[in-house]
Amino acid sequence: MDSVFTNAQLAVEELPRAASVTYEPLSRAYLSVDLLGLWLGRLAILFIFLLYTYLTEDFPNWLRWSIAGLWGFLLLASTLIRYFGFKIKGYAVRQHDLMYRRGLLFRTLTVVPFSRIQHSEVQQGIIERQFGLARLAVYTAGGSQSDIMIPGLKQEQAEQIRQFLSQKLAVDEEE
Amino acid sequence: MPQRQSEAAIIIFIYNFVVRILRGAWPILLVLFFRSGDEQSRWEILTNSVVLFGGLFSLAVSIVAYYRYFYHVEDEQLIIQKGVFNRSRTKLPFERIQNLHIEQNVLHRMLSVVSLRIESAGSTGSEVTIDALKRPEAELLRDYIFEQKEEIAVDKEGEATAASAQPSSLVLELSLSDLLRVGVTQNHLATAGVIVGGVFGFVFTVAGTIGEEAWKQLSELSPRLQPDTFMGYVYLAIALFIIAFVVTLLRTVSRYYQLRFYEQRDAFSLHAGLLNRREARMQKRKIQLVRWADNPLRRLLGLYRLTIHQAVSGRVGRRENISIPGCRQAQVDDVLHSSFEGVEGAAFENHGISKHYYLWFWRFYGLLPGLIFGGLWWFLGEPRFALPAFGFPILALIYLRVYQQRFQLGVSAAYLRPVRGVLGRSYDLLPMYKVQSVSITQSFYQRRRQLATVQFFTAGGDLTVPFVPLKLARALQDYVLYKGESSREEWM
Repeated sequence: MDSVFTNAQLAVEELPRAASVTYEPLSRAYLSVDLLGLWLGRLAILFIFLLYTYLTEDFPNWLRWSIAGLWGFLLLASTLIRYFGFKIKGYAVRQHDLMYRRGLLFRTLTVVPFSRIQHSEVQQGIIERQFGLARLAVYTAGGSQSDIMIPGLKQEQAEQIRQFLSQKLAVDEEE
Repeated sequence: MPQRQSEAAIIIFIYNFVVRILRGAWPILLVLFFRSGDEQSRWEILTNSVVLFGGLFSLAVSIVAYYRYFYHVEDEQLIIQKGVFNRSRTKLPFERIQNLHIEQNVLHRMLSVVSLRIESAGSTGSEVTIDALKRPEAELLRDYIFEQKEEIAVDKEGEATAASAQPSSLVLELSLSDLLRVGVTQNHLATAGVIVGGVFGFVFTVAGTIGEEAWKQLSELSPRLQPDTFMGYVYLAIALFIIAFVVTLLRTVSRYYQLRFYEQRDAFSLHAGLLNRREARMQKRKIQLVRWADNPLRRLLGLYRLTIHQAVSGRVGRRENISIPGCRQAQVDDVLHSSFEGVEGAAFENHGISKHYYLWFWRFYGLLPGLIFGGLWWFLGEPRFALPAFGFPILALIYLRVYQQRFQLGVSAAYLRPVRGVLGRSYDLLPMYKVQSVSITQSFYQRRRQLATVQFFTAGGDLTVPFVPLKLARALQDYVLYKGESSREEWM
């Protein structure tokens, strides 16, 4: 498995390498946004669950608290994963494509050439809006796994990149 | 000049309406049917009148709908005016029309009409169907629209030949004996699985309603099917397999009857079907990837199933693939050479995948079930768990190991060609410049061993290459991206 492309070996050495890129990190504030959203959502569900169990007659106490405990444990696990996974998240804009890296346990790098972008959107959730952050969603024709969603960008930054992408699209179509 | 459809449209409308209702309401109807023993007269009158009223209503609606449906062509657009309660006027520019298909189901064939299905691009990814036209009219409309589209393209790019004027050559025609060969060598196990699933689903949803009585009656019918004895299982399995075999055979014959596969300069078209006759047309430049596959039986006969994957323009829409069973190697090569440039001379370098593939997956598909069944065997003391307790680990090991050893990714200067399969082999050919994006993923297990999984996404399907060395994954990613970004060719 040492040699890669024997007939194209020269070309590979000279090719731009995805591995040699330095990634732009996401806004620090995004970590708070993400965790806030996570906790709000999960605690809300827990609350509804507990309410339900108290309103129902004869709901066994041990069952109630073991489920709650399990839920809490999963919440903690998710928090840790997101906390440590935050550092890994990063993106890079190259001359011809867009790169996005994420994942603590499953490290994933997705690269989408500009010429393959169908369209791009800037999206904002309620919490994100409070922090002035936004998400950049880039869609391809390759199905949802092929798309890129970059969270944690400052709003102006996201819109800047989106503008840049649509210019690139227009140029490539004219060629 | 707005036109009406053929009068047969009325009948087709009724049929569609009834089918839609049945599809939604069949469990209710079934319950009614079984319950008809109790509470007769009042209930019967009610249901009878509902059915009667429903029938008359659908008939009336269909007649009115027919009279209010007009289609015509104007200004490089197809305009359809329709609607009983909600009048609507749909304007479909020819430019947005991706493809036109002429189809017939059983009813159409009895009435000697065809339906024209129009695929269009756009954010809603809509599809318009004109339900009933006489065949000459449908073909006239289709050819006219294609011609107009070519002319529009001429204004833009400066070269075209009208689609209908291109000569077509016959690539493959399935004779009856070929068809039977295909039908017999189909994957019957898959059908058996579907039947089992369907039966279980049916039993779950309806059994409660039917009640114990009916169920007892069914089992009394066939004493051989007592599920408690071993022989009972065997008989059940044999019966199931025979049913699956017959069903698959009938389905195959019905689907691929009189199959004709044509090639024009810029497109392929496939005509096939007995009860539902379909004509599918696919432009060559829209082809994203081509797959051909066999199974052990088919390999003896030298037959492949050739599937051509294309993209439907825009985000939404299902992918329309052409699937042709019963191809010989020569025809497969023909299709490949005329769809992709430079494939004949391509030199492929083959790469395998790491043995960690089977080591990793065996834990889930072999060891885990083995432990579960082993545990059940140990704690419940039932000997019938012994077989799966040993079977799963052993079979999984063999299967995964063979899969790993036989997986080959062929890489040429411009193409990817993965070859996979344990019992049957499947071959894909994917031009690199068609790739939409490339993704490298590493699980923790893979990271420690410098391995990765690469995924190539196209608009016609994805290619996943598991457990390759990280260096190779990166090189592939860099190279394929380079091919896609530096190519001037339109990927569709």
